[in-house]
Amino acid sequence: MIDKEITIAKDFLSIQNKDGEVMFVIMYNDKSSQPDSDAKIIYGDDSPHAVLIKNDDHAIILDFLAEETLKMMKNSKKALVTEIEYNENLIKYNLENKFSKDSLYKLFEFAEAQHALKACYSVKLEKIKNFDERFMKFIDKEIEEI
Amino acid sequence: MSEGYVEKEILQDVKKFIKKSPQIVVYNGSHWRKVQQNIQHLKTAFKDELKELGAGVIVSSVTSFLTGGAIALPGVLGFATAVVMNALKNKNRAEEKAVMQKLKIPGVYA
Repeated sequence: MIDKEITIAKDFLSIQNKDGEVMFVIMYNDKSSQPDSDAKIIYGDDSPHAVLIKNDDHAIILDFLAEETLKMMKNSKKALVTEIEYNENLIKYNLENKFSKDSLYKLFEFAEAQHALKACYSVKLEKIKNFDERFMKFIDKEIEEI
Repeated sequence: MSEGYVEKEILQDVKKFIKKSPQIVVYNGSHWRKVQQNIQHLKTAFKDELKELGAGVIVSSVTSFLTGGAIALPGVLGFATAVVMNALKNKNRAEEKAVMQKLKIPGVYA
């Protein structure tokens, strides 16, 4: 049984840079909470989902992970996480810039200027054996409600 | 600085991270699944028109995205609009507008 508030990250990116480092960019997360220093992302062997345990009270479901993302996670022990509150200005900015090559960096600068960069922290990546048993019931319920 | 939980040190790490040329950017999540379905629909629905832009233009433009902004556009069709716009970024504005109108994608040029 989980006694945390569970939200779902409807949209999120996983990014790997040329040094093999991993970052998750979570958008549309409507609950703000301070991450613990031991925040972690838990995932299982075969599950397409993962859970970000942010603190004692709050967990975020990372649903429908792509194959590439699972591969990134298996090859890394930690990741950076950023949370962006996506607003109309950011949408407009992205449209105007048409996703140019360096737009990711500019997007972060713009998000910061717009006070939309809501969280920035690092997490451990942890694969566990009983992931499905612990989390799938809750994940299925959240997904059904979307 | 934003209100929230942005640790300055980590923010610097994020900026350094991004500067190291992201090699792989992957979209995840239930909304993204819907976007993929919609792109498939677009590819089928506008098969002939997309041929004029070059084979596989939508797929290649999606995979070349370096930011996830598009998925936060209001509605999945909005995303598809951005996908097509990205595919057209090397064309001039008149050509771009003409193709957008031909594809009957509403929003930006409506």
